[in-house]
Formats: sequence, structure tokens, C-alpha cells
Amino acid sequence: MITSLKKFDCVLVGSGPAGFVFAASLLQKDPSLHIALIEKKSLKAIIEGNQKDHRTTTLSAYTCDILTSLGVWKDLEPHTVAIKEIFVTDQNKDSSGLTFDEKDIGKPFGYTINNTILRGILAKALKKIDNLTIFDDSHIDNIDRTISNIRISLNKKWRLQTSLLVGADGRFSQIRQHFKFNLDSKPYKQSALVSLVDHEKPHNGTAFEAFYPEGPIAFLPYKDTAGKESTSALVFCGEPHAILALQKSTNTFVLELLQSKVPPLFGKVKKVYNKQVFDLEIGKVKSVYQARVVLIGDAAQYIHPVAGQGLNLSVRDAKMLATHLANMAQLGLDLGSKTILAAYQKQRHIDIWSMIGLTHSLVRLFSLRNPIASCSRRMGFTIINNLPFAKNFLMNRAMGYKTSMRFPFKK
Amino acid sequence: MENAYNQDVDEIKKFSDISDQWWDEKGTFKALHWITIPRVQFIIDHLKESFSKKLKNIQCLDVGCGGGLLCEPLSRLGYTIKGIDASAKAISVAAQHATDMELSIEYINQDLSDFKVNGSKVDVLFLLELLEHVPNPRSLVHDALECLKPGGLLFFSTLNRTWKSYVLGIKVAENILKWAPKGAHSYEKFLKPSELQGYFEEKNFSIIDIKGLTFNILKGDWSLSDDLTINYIGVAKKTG
Repeated sequence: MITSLKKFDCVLVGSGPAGFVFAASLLQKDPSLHIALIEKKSLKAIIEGNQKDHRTTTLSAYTCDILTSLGVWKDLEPHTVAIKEIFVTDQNKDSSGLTFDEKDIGKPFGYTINNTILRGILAKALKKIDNLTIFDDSHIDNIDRTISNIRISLNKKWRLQTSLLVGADGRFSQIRQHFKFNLDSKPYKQSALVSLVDHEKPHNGTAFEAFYPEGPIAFLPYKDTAGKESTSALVFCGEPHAILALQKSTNTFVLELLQSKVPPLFGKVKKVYNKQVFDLEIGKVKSVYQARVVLIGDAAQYIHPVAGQGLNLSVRDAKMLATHLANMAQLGLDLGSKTILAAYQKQRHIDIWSMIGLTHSLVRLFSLRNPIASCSRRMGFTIINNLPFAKNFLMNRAMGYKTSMRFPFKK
Repeated sequence: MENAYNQDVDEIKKFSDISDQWWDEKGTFKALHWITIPRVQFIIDHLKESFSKKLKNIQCLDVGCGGGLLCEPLSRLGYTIKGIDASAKAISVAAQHATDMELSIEYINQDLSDFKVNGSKVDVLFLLELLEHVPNPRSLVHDALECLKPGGLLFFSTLNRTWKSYVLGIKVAENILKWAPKGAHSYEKFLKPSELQGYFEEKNFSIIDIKGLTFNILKGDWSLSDDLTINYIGVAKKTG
């Protein structure tokens, strides 16, 4: 039976990090707004999680600041590991490493956390937000847009009406597909094998990344449920057929291969867990909005995991959109109007493009096989290691803070 | 051509002909939609500061309301607002849009002088982007002031008469950027803030705040500034 129409100022689709940050920030700034959240899965299932999914996310320092301001960091922190050092090498050749140390900046670069745990804690926090109406375990039957609103029917039961629909429903966004947003996407001809690796020595908060022409290999510091710190999250990128073969091969073989690719600081690699494979692709919508619809997070753009920036970009989208909409609501403006959404897109433009540019060039740069490229990469490392301002710029970017290159002259 | 009212018949026809475009945010009135954000910001700040009564008891009148770009946000916030315009077509577009948006706003095809004759008074009166389109801005300002209750506010916005507003406000905006329809503005109708201040002083009113509306090329958006050389918005109140 169809119930009566429920009206909202904003309807959000997706309960991931972008969705959480958006809903929590918006209602924190303006508790009088009526917001609804639609989630395909049940929040209960998200909270229970899939224990076999070892994907790990990097939370930049700026993302942690936002999560702190939303009151959820205290629940997340016990499950995170602080990244105290980042060690980057070109093909794991000893002399060519680039080291970023937290001592240079006085705080950790960021924190790693298991995706499943992160999603679960955020889902719990969503349930606690007052005046957020949650429709979970919900299937969207129909979406109808007029000049003044969008109407959504759910589970053949509910009908919602809203001025603005926010799609935070991930890389395969249903909202993006429904409204036929123009997506530019390109596969990297790389896949990633994701798992956990036990190693002999504790990681001491070191994130390691080695660049190979086939793709980067990363170890991210991980904390298992027992709090043991000699496990790292593995991201092994390479040509798709090779990665699939690696997934099928024996763990002994994988361990031997890894041993030759990681630096001695981890000691002997001892155990590898359930291996998952993901295809890597870069994608970005030409415009993040249409009348009454806006996309944030992976629904709007997704990038290579090489720099661990995907989630942080999503969180910045969510935070900025929430702040912007709260300001516009104070002025009584129509939140779904193109003028308001265009203003948001303008504010986000530079950050999104520079992050896509930075990640994409990293992938491209390290894919070049010729010796000149390889040699200049290592020269580049040496130069960056010795130029404090270049290093600070890169570190600040990685931490998610807005920075600009400062020119050595005054106005 | 002028009629019995303080109206320019050609101006009314010009705006009536394009009134179906009032709510096309990428169309003829694109720039007006953009500047609505800082304009409303300026207005709300002053309304909050000047009135302490319930929003629905604050009665506002938007003179030359066009498609209702200002009436809608104020109504959504809870203010009681009425829009009047010399163009019957603009009024019907505004009324239809308000219905679509589920807002209750009174729109009337009326001249301010008729409103004044009825003896109605309001707390807040808006003359936004209007002074440069009427034959006699001085008498429009004076009529408007007579419609205010004690302690009432009059908001105005227009273009300054400077070489910059001639080049950027007319030549560039109309011909190159197409932010305004061709022939939307004539330079000699622009007003200097000092001239407006003169009109107010004759009736013991004074400008209490004035800000420029400036387009920031780097950011690509409009904001309030201290640069009054092109577009500006201000508010006047009875002195003493």
C-alpha cells in the first residue's frame, strides 16, 4: 500500500563515508532541515559487516579533523593505525627511497582503517543522528523530476518528495545512471589484489609503497582485532591477467614474490589471507549537478588508489556541499536550483582536478619503463628529499589540507 | 514612452516579451540568479538586525518583482511578502512558479502609486534593479518612503554611473558575456549613490549601509564588496 507523500528538504542516497559526512555536517549546521537517507542494504547488515573483506582505507589528517568534529572519531580511533612514516621507492631499489616522517610535521600523516569496520561504525553513528529519517534496506522503484521537485517511490510503499537529491551511492551510482550524467571513464589496464600480510617485524606505523612499471605495491600499517602490529594491508597492482593469476596461485608463491618486492624493514613475510581482486579505473562526471540532483564522492569521481586519496576526496565533497547548502538554506534559497549547485561545483573544481591530476600523473610517471624515466624518477626523489618546501607541499596535499605553492617573493 | 504612472511603456514591453525566461537559470536572467545569493545575504543580515518580531508579522513589498526571484526566498524563510510589477506577464509567471514551488505569495499587476493610494504600509520595501528602468527615480523613491511604517527599511540596488559600469555593466555584460539582454540598460539612467542619498535626505531618510556587488573573475562568483563602482545594494532608514 502506498502511504502519503513525505516531504524533505534533501534526500541523500548512500550511507558510506560521503553520505555520513554530508548528513551529519548538514544537520549539525542546520538541525531544522528535514533530511532523508536511502540505503539499499540494511544498516544492520552494514554494521555486522563482511569479515572477509580486507580492503583498507587511508584517512587523511583533514578527514580525521572532520570526523572528530562530527563526534565519531572516538569510536573509530581504537580501530586505526597512525601512519608515522611513508616510505616510497622506485622498484624497491635501496638507494632510491623517499621518506616522509611525522617528525617533519608534528602529527601523523593519517590513519588506516579496515573498510568494513569504518562502514559499520559510520552506520551506527547515522542511526543516532536526530531528525535524519532513514529508509534502509530500500529499493528505489521510480524517480520523477519536475521543475520544482523530485519524487521517489521506495519499496512500492513510500513516496518521498524533495527539492534536492544527493547521490552519494558510490562508483556504480544508480542516481548517476538514472539521470544519465555524462561520465568520462578510462580503465587503467591494471587490477589490484587486496589482502592482509603477516610479517616478522612490527610495521611501527610505516606505510610502504613501491612503484613498478606494472603498477604500485603498497603495504599499509594494519591493526588486527588482537591489536597486533605485525600485519599490513596489501595492495598489489599489476596487469589484469597477472593479478588474476596471482589470485589463483598458492599463498607460498605469493609470499615468495612479495618477499622480493618489499624492503627488509618488514622482515620475513609469513602469511597471506583471503585475496580479493578489483579492476582499476579512473572516472569523473563532466558536471556534478543537474537541476535538483548533485553527485558527491565516488559517484562523482573515482581515482586510482595509488595515493590513498579517494575517500578523502569524497569526504571533502561531502563537507563542502553540506556547508554550502546550510548557508544557502539560511537565505531561503532553493537548494536544488542550478545556480546554487553550480556555485558548489565551482568551489570543488580545483581540488578535484588537482587530485585527479596528481594521482593520474603518479600512475603514468611510474609506468614508464625506459631507463631515462627511471633515472629521473630517482633524481626527483633525491631533489624532493632535500627541498623542504616541495616535501611540505606534498605532505600537506597527502594530509588533505588546502595548500598553495608559496612563491619566494612578497606581494 | 511614459504613461500616466511612473513607468516606461517600452521598458515594460521589453521585459514582458522575455518574461517566460525568468526562471531559466542559464538563460537571459542568468546573472540575476547569481547575484540573488549575495543580495539576499545582505537583506537577511539587515532584517535580522532590525526586527525582533515574528517573521510572518514582518510585511514586505517587492516593487518590480519580475518573476519573483526575491519573493520566493523571503517567503520560504517565513516573511510575509507581496510582489507587484508593471508587467502582467511577469506577474503571471511569478504566480505560476510560486504555485509550483508550493509557496504562498501574493502577486499583483500594480503600480506602486496604486498601492500607496490604498493607504497600505509595510515594514520593508524593495526597489531592486528597478530605479534604472523608470522615468523618474526620485519620485519612485519618495513614493516608496511614504509606504513605510515607522522604523521601516527601504532596500535598493542599481548600477552606478561610472566609466566602469558603462564598459562592464553595459558593453561587456550585454554584448560579450550576454549576462543581460541587449538594450537592458541605458547608461544615463544609472544612479550615483550620492544622488540616491540626496533623494533620501529630502525625506529625512539616510543610507545606513551600502555594499558593492562584485564579480570575482578568479573565483567565478558574485560577492558583496566595498567597491561601489558598478552594481551596488543598500538600505535606508528614517534618521533620528
